[in-house]
Amino acid sequence: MALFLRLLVDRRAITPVLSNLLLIVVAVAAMSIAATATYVITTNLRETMGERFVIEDVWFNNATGFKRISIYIRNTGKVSATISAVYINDTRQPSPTLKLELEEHGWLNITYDWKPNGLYHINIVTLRGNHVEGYYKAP
Amino acid sequence: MLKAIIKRLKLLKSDRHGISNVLVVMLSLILIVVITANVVLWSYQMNQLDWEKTQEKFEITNAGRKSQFFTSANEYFLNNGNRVEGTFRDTWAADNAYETFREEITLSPTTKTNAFIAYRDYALNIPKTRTWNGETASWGPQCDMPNAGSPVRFARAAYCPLEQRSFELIVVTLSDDGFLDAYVWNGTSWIVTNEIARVWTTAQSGAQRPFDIAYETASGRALLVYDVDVADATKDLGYRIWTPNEGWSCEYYIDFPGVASTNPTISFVELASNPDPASNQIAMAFLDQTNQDAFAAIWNGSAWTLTTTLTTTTGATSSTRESIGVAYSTYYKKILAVSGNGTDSMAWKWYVQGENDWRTGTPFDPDPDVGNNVCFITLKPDPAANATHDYIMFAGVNSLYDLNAWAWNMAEETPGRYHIVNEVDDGLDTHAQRCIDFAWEPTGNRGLIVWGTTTDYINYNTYSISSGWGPYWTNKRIVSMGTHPWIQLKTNPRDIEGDVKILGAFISSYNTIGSLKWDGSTLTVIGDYAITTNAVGYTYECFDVEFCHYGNAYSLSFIGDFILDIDQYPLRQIDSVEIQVRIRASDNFENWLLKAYNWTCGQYDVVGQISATDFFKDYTVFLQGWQSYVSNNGTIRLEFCDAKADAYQTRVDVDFFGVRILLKGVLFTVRNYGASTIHVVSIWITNTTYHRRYDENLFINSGETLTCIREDVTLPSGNFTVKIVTDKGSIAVFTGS
Repeated sequence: MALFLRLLVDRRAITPVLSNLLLIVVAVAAMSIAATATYVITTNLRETMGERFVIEDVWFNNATGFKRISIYIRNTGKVSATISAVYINDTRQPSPTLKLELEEHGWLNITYDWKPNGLYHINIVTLRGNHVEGYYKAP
Repeated sequence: MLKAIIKRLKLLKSDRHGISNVLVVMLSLILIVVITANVVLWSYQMNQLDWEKTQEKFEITNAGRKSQFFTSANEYFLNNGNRVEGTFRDTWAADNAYETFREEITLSPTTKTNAFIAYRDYALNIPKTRTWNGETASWGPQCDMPNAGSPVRFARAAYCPLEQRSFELIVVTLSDDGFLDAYVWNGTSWIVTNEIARVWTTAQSGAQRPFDIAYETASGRALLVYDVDVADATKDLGYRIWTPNEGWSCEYYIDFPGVASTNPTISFVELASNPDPASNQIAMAFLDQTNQDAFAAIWNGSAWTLTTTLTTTTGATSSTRESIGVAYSTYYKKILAVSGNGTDSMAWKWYVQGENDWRTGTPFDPDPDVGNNVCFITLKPDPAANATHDYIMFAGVNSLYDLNAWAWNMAEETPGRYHIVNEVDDGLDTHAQRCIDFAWEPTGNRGLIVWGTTTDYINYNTYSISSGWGPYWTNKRIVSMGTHPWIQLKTNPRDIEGDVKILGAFISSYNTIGSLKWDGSTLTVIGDYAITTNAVGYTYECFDVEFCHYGNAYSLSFIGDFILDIDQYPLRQIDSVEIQVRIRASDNFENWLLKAYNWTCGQYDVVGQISATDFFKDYTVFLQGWQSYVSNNGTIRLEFCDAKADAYQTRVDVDFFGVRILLKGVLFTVRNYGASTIHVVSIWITNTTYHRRYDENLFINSGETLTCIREDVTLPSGNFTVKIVTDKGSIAVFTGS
């Protein structure tokens, strides 16, 4: 009781407590930010590094009456992959976004006026910036 | 250093902010370590993934509806024919390493009779042969015999009478240099004995042929009898004996009673075999040109016996021409020997089996025209003779160019002459050669006479015992090659429906050798120069036609067992079975059959026909109703054989012979030759217009080759590509069609 009364009459008594609390809060916040930043950084790195996909097949398709290049892609990596862009002969082609979960596969159809016996450089780019490319010759 | 650390700790202890700094540094280090560790570990995992992908090594060794080929597990079993070289292993792959088979002689009671001709063409030293294919009624290609060393003048041929050696054929040629060359066909090749004897040192100017060859009917040995050019009174004739597996004997000599001088010139030797299958008797007649004598004798299988003189007065004209003849009658096996006997006369004797000597016939004038001398004659026994009509036909030309013909009936106690003709044609082509011949049909007691009498024609007439000669002695066939100095007719010894009854050959004054055939009603000239376009002269009878005694034909048949792997390819997944052979054959015209053993019916069924060429070609046959041809253990038994036995001996090279399965679905064979197990997750079938993906879930261990059959997969027609994708993204590709 006496100590409490002394604290009340001491005009500097409350300041150390507040300062200590404040310091704790600041330290915890700083560490949280640092931990979160670490998590985000490492997750992005891991996803970028873990992205793998292959082109199983390229079909210069004229079956439906209009020409298109159908590319069959298989996700062989450890994360899902989203195909965001397709470049044919270094020119970006309008293409639907194709999201492939782990071990998923599917067609990516690009309308393109390919010529018979033409040689085409196809570059598939994911949202994370990874890409698979190769030369393909039309039949 | 320890002091420095202690000092630094004391400073830290005394520093009011020391602990805080330490905490901040440590936390920062922890964060860095966490980030780094995370990145490094993840990177390690992904690198491992990439590394494992690069380690995946696999290939598609087969993709399609077809299995691999199953080839013969053992050497082929030969039904007919021979294996010449190579083994069954040479038929496992189409690699130009092949197994060679050759057709061999087989007996065929229904096959039409083959014949043979030996002759010469412009390459005078090299005798030629052709084979008459009874089935196709045509002459085969010309073949060379071994070199005789001198221009061939005469050729005489004889077939072995034994069934087991029915392919054996002996040809003896006489060349300008006087040497005889003997050729024996052993079914595979000619065994040649050059210069087996010498009949003269100075060549004769005419058509003298002082040798002959004949087989012993029972033993199958052959006798070659010839004049010898030896100044020894005890060596009037020489002979050698051909014995199978032993070859030709040494030279034996005949000191013939009655031969008047030392080393006379023998102008002709004639031999005739006793048709009795149990007899080794051979009758001989020969003509002594020097002394104008004719003789006869009988070989009893071991010695010459019953020597006799036919005449001592042949006259000069007859002595240089084949004015002698000897023949056995078919029924009674009586021997008839005849000879020109000077002007307007013919001498003849006959021998009755079992008697001690010849009987002598009364000489007669064979032609009413005065001044005739017998020139070239033939004696032909009727093969269909019977107890009352045991006929031997005589046909010849005399010095007046007259045609003479009649038939002796040897069934009579003293053989009478019947159907005598001698004034039907008095203008034959020549009497320096034998421009006339007669041959009987195999049955029916009928025959055909053919002679040359008009330029660019040959004449013919028919004969039958019952009605004699046909009414038309002016029947002709155009043979547009001048006159025809030599005509030869041979009787087909077998009576097969549709087969030729008589086959003949002739040489023209244009030096061509042609051929003709008689089917019982029509005489057909096969060709004016069917045998050769240039025999270089017509002085000599440089050809001889002989029929084979049996329905011999060359045939090939071999059988192989092909065992399917029904563990790998279950029977329920078999859609069909494909047979593939890659062969070439020396005879382009021969057809071949593929037969498969029907396990249900217990017989071979024809499943394919092949027309082979003389270059390698692949042939594919699909087994319809394959279930009957595959045994429970998966064995398919296949026979490769000729469609029909024929006259030509064909070689067949088999480069590949195999069967494979056509599946209901598609078969994939994948070989993992990498160090890690692969996991196949998809199969692609693509072509230019067809891209189809099939899910798969197949694990293949390192070093393993795995075959899987997918019944749900279909292949596009034409070329296609198969891709197999692993879970790590590796792809193997196979292209097929």
